[in-house]
Amino acid sequence: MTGASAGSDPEPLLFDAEFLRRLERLEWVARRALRGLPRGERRTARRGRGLEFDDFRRYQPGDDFRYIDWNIFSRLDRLVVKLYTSEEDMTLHLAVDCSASMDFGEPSKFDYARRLAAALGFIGLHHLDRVVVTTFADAHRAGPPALVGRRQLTTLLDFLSALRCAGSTRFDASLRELAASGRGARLVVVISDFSVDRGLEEGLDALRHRGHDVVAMQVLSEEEIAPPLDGALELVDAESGEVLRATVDARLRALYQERLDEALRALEAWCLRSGVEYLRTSTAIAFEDLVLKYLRQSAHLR
Amino acid sequence: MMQLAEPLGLAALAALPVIVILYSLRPRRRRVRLASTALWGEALRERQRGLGLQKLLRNLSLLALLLFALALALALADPGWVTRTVETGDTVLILDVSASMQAKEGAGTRFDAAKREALRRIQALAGDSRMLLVSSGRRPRLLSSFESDRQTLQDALSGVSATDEAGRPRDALTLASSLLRNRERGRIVFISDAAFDEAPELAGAGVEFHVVGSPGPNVAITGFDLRREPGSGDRFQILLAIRNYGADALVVPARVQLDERAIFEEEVPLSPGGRRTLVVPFAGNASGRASAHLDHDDHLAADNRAFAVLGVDEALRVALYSEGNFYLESALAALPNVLVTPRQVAGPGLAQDARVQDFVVLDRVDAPELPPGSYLLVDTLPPGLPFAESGPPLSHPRLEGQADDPLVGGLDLSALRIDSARRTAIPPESGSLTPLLWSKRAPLALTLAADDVRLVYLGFDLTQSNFPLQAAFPLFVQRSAEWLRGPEPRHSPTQIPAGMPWPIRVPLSQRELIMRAPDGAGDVYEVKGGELLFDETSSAGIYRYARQDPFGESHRFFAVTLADETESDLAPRALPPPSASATARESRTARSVAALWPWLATAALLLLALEWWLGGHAAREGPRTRAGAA
Repeated sequence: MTGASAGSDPEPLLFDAEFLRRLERLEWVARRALRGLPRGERRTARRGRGLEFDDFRRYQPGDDFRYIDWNIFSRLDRLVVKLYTSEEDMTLHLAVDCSASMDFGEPSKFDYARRLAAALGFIGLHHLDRVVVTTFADAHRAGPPALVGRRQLTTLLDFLSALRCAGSTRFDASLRELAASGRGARLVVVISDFSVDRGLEEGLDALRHRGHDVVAMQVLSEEEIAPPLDGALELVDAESGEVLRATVDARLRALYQERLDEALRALEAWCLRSGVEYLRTSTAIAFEDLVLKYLRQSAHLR
Repeated sequence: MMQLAEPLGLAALAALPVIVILYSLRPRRRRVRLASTALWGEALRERQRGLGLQKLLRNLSLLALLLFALALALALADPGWVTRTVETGDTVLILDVSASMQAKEGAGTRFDAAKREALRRIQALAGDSRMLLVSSGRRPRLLSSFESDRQTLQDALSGVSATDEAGRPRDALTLASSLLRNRERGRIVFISDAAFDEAPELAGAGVEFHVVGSPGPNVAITGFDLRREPGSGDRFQILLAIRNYGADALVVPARVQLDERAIFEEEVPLSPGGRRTLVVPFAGNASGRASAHLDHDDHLAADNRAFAVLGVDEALRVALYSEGNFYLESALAALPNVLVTPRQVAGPGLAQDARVQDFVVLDRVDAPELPPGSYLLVDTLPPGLPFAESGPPLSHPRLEGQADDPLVGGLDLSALRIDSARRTAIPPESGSLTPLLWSKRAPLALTLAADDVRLVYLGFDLTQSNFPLQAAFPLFVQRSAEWLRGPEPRHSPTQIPAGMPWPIRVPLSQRELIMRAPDGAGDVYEVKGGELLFDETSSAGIYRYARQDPFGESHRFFAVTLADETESDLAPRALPPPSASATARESRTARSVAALWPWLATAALLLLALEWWLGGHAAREGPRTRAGAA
């Protein structure tokens, strides 16, 4: 097995005619799948001042008197405030991992991530959402200004095509910078292999604490899930450059699988506890299937 | 010491740098780029957990190759290990087994140390050399023949133990010298504590002495006996001699027992190096087994006890078949402690008398064929004997010859006159018959010593001769009585030194004898002719055996004791240095070289197999390094 070459050259035909046909088909399929949803309507998860009643809660000092339900007070002699949800235009923020570890696998995890970002962006633009795309590796890097409307698809694809993999992942710092950028709550989709030793939880927490809805999409290659390694090897870490001398055999492969399963279970469990939507995929799965099937099942698109 | 038979083989060491160069040119590991090696690192650590030597294994392949080349080069050089310079030729190894070798020495005894030294010398025996083992006690004993097989010698050595005997090293050395006579290469090694007084006499014997043991305090019984007071029937005396060989004054509890009865107990003060001799009278029945003990803990326990047996003299029982013979009756009555039973006719009762009496006298009677027993035949010739009458009686035979025999040797029979004598003939090749007196034509007196019959024959009537009037007659009768009764003394000694043979006489009908040693162990011994010379008296104590007399079985005892001043003195004596001839003989040495190349060749093969295994399968994993350094 060989990984993609480090700092690979841009792939000019990443979004070729075939991809665009599949994207069009995705548009047609997505339109049917999202039928019934009013355009521009995205229900925020934030409660408070809005138009649609959502729930009651006990009055707390500092609450606006205007939201006290006086009928309940007259009947039960208890101060209760009414909560509402607001409806606002959604900002879809696509954060793509451009670290060196993404440049691995056949097909490359990075290509898969870019196609996935293009597909999600396409859907967002199709529904007149604001689409923001940025990248991160050792630092957060801003992309083009917020895109709105289908006409911005070309800008999105050009930006994604021009991306390169380089550097190591500093998840904590990069996502903190991302969280601090821009205004208002967003749906932040982090597309990465999450191949980091530390800082992952802190980075995702930084996004959550800013009020964003966070979706963690983990992209793994088949070579990582079932590595076809055997014999005396020097294993080179794509990000750190460290070399590990190992004679790989069935026993070592089994141990690796155990460690990988443990890591994936731990990440999934942490996301579940933290209210972060988690989705794991392999580069062997067609990205449009992932978008339609998995995203709808996970209700990321409503 | 190492030696190389083929030093040129070391030229193979030139392969070492070649191996290093070739190893450096070996194909490197295939390099694989991964997104992350973090999980692989954890998996490797999991696999390597508990294998602290994994770090060392990284370059084990090269190390194995280098060691392989080194072992191969050494094997080609045919190295040998000179294990020891040992004496060639024949060696007589004498092991002292005398009582002093039982003395404490460290955690064991002197004898333990001596056996270890003997074992060491056996194991160092060169391949073409031989060794013979001799034990030295009161008498030397051969423990083996000249052997080159170490296992045989070790087996012979394992069966020997220290005895209670007083040592006589000179006898052992004499034996050893005779065994090495006419051998150009041979030597004598004597492993001993040198606790004997013959050391100066051993000078020039050409012996290599190996001395074990160091001086130590000791208190010993050096003399013990019981005796009847002269002229007294029931008064006895105990003799007890004690000596302190230490440098400190002591008070030692001493006691004497007769059977299980204590007859003497006393605290005996002893000055440094001093001795005490106690003579203690006591009255009463003094027959039985006596023992003396010192209740004192010192270096040698064997000499803290002594033994004696005080017996009651038994009467000599004689049956006299005669119509009356004043001279003979007088001569028999003159024997000490004799009990003569007169008989008239030699009939059926003869067999009974032959069993129960010490001997039977047949004087001029008609006797049937003799049953087993001892007889004095006077002018009587029963049938069934290996000699018989061969003609008419001899008239006035003249004494022509007299045997130099214990019975008639030294007797003055020059005046012997005989009126008439039986004419008998001794068949040729009759080894059991011994003529005592003879005339020209026939023997006048003879002895027969057969398996079941022992007799003294006088071929003439005493009353028809002047023999009873001779001074030699009572002596002849006494000697005949002693000979017929056998060698067992009438007045037994109360004890014998350990290692000395003890003569035992039992009735002729007794074919075997069960001897019980002091430790209670019994052994069966075959008895021939009613006699047994028992020589297994190495242990001090009371020995017991059963005598099967016709009138019943009776137990007999005899005592074996150490009680030897020389043996109890544990201080090693000065020994003479080896003589020049012995030194010259010892200089003939040979080296025992153990070939090492088979081991090295085996090691080389194993190392090669290890390298092959490492190259194909073994883990060669290590911690992370930077790519640039890999």
